[in-house]
Amino acid sequence: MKRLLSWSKWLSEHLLLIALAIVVGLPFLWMITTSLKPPRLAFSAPYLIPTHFYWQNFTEAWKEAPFGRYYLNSIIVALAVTIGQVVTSAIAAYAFDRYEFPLKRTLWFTLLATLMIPLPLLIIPTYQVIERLGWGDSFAALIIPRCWTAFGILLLRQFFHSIPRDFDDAARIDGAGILRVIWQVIVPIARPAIATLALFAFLFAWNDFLWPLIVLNSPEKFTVPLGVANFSGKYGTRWTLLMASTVTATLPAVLVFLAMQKSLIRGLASGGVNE
Amino acid sequence: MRSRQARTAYLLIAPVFLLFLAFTVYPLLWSAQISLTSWDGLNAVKKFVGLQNYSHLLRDPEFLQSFRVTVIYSVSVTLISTVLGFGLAFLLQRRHRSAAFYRTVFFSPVVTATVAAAVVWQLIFDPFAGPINVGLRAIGIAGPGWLGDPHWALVAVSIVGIWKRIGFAMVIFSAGLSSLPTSCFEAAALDGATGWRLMRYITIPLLRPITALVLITGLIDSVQVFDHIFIMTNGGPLGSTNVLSLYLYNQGFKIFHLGYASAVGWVLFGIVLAATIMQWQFKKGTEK
Repeated sequence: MKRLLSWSKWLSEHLLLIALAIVVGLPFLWMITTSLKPPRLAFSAPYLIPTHFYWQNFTEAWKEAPFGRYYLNSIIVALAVTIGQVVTSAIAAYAFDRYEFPLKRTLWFTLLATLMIPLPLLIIPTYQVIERLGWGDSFAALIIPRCWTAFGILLLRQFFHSIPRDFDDAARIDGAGILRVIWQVIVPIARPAIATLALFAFLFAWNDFLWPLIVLNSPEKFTVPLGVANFSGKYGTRWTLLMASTVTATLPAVLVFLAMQKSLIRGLASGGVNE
Repeated sequence: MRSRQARTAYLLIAPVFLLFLAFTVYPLLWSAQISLTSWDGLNAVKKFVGLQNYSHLLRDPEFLQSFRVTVIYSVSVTLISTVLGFGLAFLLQRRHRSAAFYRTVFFSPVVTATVAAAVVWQLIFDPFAGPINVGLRAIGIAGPGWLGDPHWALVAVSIVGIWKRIGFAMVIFSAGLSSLPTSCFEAAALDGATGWRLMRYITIPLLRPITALVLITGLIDSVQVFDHIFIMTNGGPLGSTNVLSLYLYNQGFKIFHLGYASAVGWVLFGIVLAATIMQWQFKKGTEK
């Protein structure tokens, strides 16, 4: 009896999980299936699992809009932002962890307070700054203001704090300068935290929409999300074509996530629990 | 020696603070100032109007509607995604082989480009070709017009918001559950507590700080929602999904009421600030 009870509990839990997984996964399934449908089947009886493989939707979508170009733009912007955030966060986190200096606490809390600023509040005035710098419609506007993050400094400072100072001292005695100590001693040890920060920076920059929407005008500079939005505005309800474009847009981020999900989830979790 | 140390430290934090000054502090001051003017972005003179923009907000039916829509959206998305995220974390606890698979599925929406997801959801909510209404039709129910129906559009965009957030809540709760001291559970089990009572009197109280974190960050994120609503409804129909960020965007970048739009931005800041203060108060309360 007891075994039967625990077995039925096991079954009901799994059924529940499977049902939820289908609901959450439905958009992905539907996107992939539709992207592979021949247009003549677009409005006939729907099916969930792909049975036709009409790859022409992809070639047509890629012909109608320069998705290759959008990819390249997104990669340039996302990589630059990632490198920028890792570099500025690493050196600032090191300074906050290893040094004492006047105003340290004030500066630290000022930085943390920025986590509270809503993005929409900043877009109007930041756009004015960008215009005055002559950066309108440029990648510089997408990259440079994004090259620092309070979250990153917080994350790295926590991790750096657990690295014994003996490591720095040993390297200093060997004649290494501060930057060499950071890059060759601290950063390699802090690789898990660096990976988490890099992943967040990359995904955020890759998926960012509102800021590029305001900054960019020229279609040849569009990032992937802007390209998809533009494409969907143009091809309204040609769902097979639209889904080919969204598969194109989501695939890289999802692959990056699948490859690195451990460090992403661990980073999120440690941030949450340490709060 | 001390001053040399300080100099090195300042040099190391200089890049961050330069960017911070140029792209956060200066814009914030500028925004506060411009919110007190009726500037349209072109006029050389920025006419000072005092707090008129703010008092006008209180009498602007479109803003009040937008405020209401934002509150409904944020509260429902935050509450529902938190409950579901907790449920999933609980179900996946101690499940080793299949948990990784489920976790990946539930977390995928978090990393998916919102714009692309929004286009897919547009298809899903399509009254004719979308799977929801096709399914409803199959069982003899005429589904609503969803994104085209003022009564259902907010429900539809909220579902997308929840879908995007469950995974985040789940991950935080999972970490929280695995960090709980097992001794409490053993002690309670010795006293004969099982199942629901264990959950009600041990798990949920112990998770209170984490629940607060998930709720507050959920609120802070969702009051700023823009991307998927911009794509799916652009605020319509009849302003039924016109959240504050969209209202700000249209005021600021479509009709160039920069002063007024900035005032809307400061209202958003007020909401986020209130939520953050609530969290601090809560943290103080639990640490005592």
